[in-house]
Amino acid sequence: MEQWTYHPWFGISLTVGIWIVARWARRRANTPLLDPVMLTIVAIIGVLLLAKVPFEAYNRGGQVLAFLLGPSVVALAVPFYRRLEKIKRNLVPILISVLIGSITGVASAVGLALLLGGSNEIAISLAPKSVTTPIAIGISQEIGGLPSITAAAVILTGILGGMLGPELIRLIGVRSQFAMGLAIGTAAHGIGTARALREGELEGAMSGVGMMLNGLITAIALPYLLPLFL
Amino acid sequence: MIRKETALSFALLLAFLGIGNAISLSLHLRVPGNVIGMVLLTVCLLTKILDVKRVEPAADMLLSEIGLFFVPPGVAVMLYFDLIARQWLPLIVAIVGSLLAVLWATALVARLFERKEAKES
Repeated sequence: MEQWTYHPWFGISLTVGIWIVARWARRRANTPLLDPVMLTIVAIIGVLLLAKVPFEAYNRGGQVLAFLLGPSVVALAVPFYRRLEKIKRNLVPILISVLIGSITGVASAVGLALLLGGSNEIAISLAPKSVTTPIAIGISQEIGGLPSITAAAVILTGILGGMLGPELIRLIGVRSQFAMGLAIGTAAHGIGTARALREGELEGAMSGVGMMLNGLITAIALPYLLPLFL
Repeated sequence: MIRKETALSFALLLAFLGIGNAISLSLHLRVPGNVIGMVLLTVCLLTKILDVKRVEPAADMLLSEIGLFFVPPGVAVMLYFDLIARQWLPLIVAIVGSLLAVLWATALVARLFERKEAKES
């Protein structure tokens, strides 16, 4: 194996280079299917497999980028604060709706996975799958899941929710912008929120609120509650 | 190139991250340190201990590229292709089924509150 692929700059420049192309592709066609994170992951895996570069070589640089996840999660406080200022009056109904969505998400993901013969490891990795990726990765580490399986499940959930969320909600006769936004953000985090913003301003704002509250509730409760069941 | 305000706000974010990690470790909390750091920063912003302008420059910069930072953990999924091939059915059914459940449960409960409020007013 060639040594230069083990240099951190290999992983960093490969990731940043493909990321820039993926972001450009996304700007040209604004659809959840072209999620830049998913495009970049798929392209990098393709390159590594074709060039027979092991993951550990790539991850020398990957670790450097992933370190920035820490301060980025802290930075989520800024949009959270901006939104909290706006929703103060409705905080209790919003909190209860998201809490119920959050419990439903964890219970249904873990339950369905186990019911269909999934291992405990897979079920645990799926538990935080509705939470925004940076927070979900941290939760997965805390509860003994496989963070990369969690990341893949989160992104897939976001893409599906971003493509079909509003249609699926209208299917049960809910047309309220408030309920729709909250549901999309709680179920499909940031990728869903991008779609909710195209449905309307209120939908987008509520989706952002749902995403943040679900991330927070799950991060605080799941590491304590999950060991009682699994 | 990098402005002083940006560097200072980045240092503030790192400080909150450090405090969050220290609290998580020393109190043996199972909550990720970065989430504790986020909660502390939110509280400081809400109580106006810290003006949002002090953290905005680095926060906005990081958040506009946040997707880039979870690409490497996502690429690690290539280490688990065997596991996914063996367990694709529970994975797919749980992801799709749970998405439906969360969308519908949250939307129905939120609408319930909205109707109650409309009736009261």
